[in-house]
Amino acid sequence: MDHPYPFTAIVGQEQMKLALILNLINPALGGVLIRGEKGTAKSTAVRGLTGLLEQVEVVEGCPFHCRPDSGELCRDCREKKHWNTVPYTRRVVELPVSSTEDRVVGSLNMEQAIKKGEKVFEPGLLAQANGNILYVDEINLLDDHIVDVLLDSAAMGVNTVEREGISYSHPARFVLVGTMNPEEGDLRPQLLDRFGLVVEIRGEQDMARRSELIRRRMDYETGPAAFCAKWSREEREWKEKIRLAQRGLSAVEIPDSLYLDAAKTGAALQVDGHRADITLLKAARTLAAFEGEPAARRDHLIQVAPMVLSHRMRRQPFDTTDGLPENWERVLDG
Amino acid sequence: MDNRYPFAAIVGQEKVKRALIYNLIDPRTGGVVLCGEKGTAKSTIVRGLAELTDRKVVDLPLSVTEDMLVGSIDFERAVKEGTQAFSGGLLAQADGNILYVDEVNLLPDGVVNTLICAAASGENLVEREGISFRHASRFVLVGTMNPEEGRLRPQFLDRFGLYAEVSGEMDVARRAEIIRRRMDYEEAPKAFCARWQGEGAALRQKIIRAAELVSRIPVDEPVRRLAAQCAAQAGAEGNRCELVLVRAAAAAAAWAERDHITLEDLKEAAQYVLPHRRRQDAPPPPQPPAPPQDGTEPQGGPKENRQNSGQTASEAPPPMEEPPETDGQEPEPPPPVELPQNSGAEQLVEGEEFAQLSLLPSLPRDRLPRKGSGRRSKTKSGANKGRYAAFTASPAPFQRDLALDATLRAAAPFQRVRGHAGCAVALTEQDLRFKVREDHIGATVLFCVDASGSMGAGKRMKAAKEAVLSLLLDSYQKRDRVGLVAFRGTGAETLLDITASVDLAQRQLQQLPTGGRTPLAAGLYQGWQLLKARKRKDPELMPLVVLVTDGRANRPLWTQDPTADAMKAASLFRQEGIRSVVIDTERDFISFHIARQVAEAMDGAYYKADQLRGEQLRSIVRSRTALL
Repeated sequence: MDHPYPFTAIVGQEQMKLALILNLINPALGGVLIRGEKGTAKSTAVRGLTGLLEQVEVVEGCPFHCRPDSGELCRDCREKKHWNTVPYTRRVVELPVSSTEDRVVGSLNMEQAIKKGEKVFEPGLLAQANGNILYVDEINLLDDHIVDVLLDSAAMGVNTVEREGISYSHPARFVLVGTMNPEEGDLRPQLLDRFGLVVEIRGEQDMARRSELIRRRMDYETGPAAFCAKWSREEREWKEKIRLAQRGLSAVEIPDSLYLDAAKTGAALQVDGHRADITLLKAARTLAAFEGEPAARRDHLIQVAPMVLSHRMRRQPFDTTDGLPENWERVLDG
Repeated sequence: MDNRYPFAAIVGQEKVKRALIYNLIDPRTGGVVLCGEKGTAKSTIVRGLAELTDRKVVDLPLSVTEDMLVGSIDFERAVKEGTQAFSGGLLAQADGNILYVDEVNLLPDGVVNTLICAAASGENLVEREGISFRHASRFVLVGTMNPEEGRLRPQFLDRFGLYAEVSGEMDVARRAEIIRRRMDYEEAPKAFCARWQGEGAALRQKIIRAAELVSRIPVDEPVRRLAAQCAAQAGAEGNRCELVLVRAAAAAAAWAERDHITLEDLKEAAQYVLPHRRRQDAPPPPQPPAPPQDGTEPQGGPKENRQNSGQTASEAPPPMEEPPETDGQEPEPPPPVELPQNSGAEQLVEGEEFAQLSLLPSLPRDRLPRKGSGRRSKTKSGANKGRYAAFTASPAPFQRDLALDATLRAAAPFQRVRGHAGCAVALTEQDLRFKVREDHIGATVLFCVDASGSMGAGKRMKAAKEAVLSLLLDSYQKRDRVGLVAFRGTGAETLLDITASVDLAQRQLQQLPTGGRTPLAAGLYQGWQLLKARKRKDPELMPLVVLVTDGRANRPLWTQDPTADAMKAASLFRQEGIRSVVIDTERDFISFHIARQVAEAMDGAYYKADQLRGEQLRSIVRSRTALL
């Protein structure tokens, strides 16, 4: 049995945790990019998400683990009249930086081709990622063209393969989580913009919390199973809270004034395009759902604004922006 | 998956919608390229076209391999039936449809060439893998691009009949409406599409009516003449411009439910046809020819005709000079995509604007496998990384990355005569094909900048910074790795070791203080050490050093003679085979030309910074870099 470090046991890094959880609740937010120095629990947090993922029913034998309740099925499942479902625990799929494109998008199945002379699609990592979380560590070191493919699929929810003699498309709905150290070079603004949320993280500075962090980590390393067991109640509670938020999300009301607030923010900060406005509102609504509120409010919007906007402020390469406003109320009322 | 966001539900973007609709009315209009910032629904609009027409929107992904584009032998049928059948690629699917390329400016060159050929001839000619095939491939080419990611080759750009700029909506109420619709759509795509179905159907009907009408719209002499004048005024090269202009005008007339072309239609068409064809030094606004006085249309009786054309001819400015000869000698770098609103003046000194220079020679393309990623120059990739571009039967010894599809196709014709050991396909050694991957390698560029007191004089440092900034912008687009060494006072300092973060270099440069003496030798030596250490780690590296200085060396490194030391340090670069560019910022009446001597010692290209402003020098630079 594998025991990843429990998500809820991570000390501090509240922004990062919130960004990840909002995406679990609402995968349509468009993923999270975590930028920060080494040793700030980036990977631990992402891998720890495993403990918060729920079990779902999927079509038996489907390489894309289609969920009949999602209404989005792959070609084969749609053609089937009847299917059996099996329980499936959603997971974190990792994409290594050295991945080649054919492994990511899928390719021609060698065995089928040689043994039977048939062209059969061999699913790649994007197939595994469907319905799951796709995690790319050091995403800024990944080849641009692969990042392109990832973001394309993430945005469309579909992976279209047109290569190596194969024409195929299958659902690829996943939460994309990338981590990177900005000193190693940045992602192109075009790619940055397509990440729903971006959080910048730093190491914990407070001494008491640093010490707590060491204690927990050492406890964990001494006995991972025991440590996880100690946190299992906490994990269960969060899991339940996320589940409730998922269910309540579509019922969270958005007042008309909030649409205007989002539009005003985008216009005032002169961000490119409209993705920021849309994400801003979606994130505010998701936060309201997480808090169990019946409607999204301005303070929800203000709370998520830095995660939505910080990476979208730069319009051109090398633009030096003034940074995010201090006083959001003034932006919204001005 | 088919509940795409409805075209009719898109808020604003009238010009973009119009450009696309004209192409649906008359596919001969020649396609559209949509240019604009990210997040402005470019792709959404194009994908939404499918509901307005019987044509399909065929996506051309950036990762397409050549055989998928042009088609190949159908290996399944070859194996099972023993027939050599052709299996069509995307160009076959695109026939009669819309071929859509997102981020068209990132499309690999090989694919662009194939596209240009097919678009020009209207057919796809396949001669590969033992098959010879030809089929019609007439399609409306639609591309979207974000100009900050790089430009399109002019030849490719010209292939697009129309050009439209996409920009974000600034009005708050409309922005709010955009959010609302998008959220509604994501919540319940099916219901949302159903709600907009009526409007979509009405649009569709209107387009069908216009398409019927457009074939009956006459294009008579005055219209043709006006179009030709328009194109000539804009300085468009070739004659595609006026042709497209006429077709777009006819489509505009049909869309307005008129059976003849008016001046307004031509004006309307000119907005889309001229912007990307106007030569850089052509007069900026796409002024259509002077309108007839009484508002009568160019269409009409013969008498009126003559009067009209005479009038416009006399009022039109004198025709443009012939464009200077552009022969095959200077393919690089292409002139930038000219955006309608910021045509013309590019200044290097004064003001925050800076021109984007591309001084750095494009690295030669060779067959040495290299690692790395970037877009400066293409090379065969050795690390089993990069795009699968083609295949080969004789790979490099260390690179045997099986191309299964090509292998199977190679084996297909022999299946009937070979013994099968329980497999459907019998493979032999000679069938094996291997992937040829192609990667763009960014250059490694080290900027060696003189920050001494003498550079502070006049506007030298400002000019120097701007020149370097413009080169950095170029580096950003080409995904180079950059480093920065500054020298002032007592020595040199590595402000930034070689990194992929061009931003960091830019920030360091902006904050660079000036003052003190000029330890030119130390600066050069530091740069040389840095690059040499890099080369030790990565022998395949092809670095370039850009030295910005006024050459007033006055602090020695090894001896008592600062200039001699500088020369000695400079010669190290020549010995190491590191290529270099020297930008001389000296602009005094009495010049010492030391920077020039340094350039000679380095065996590098030499430019004077104050000349870097003019278009004149830019073309000299262009031709020189092509020779390198």
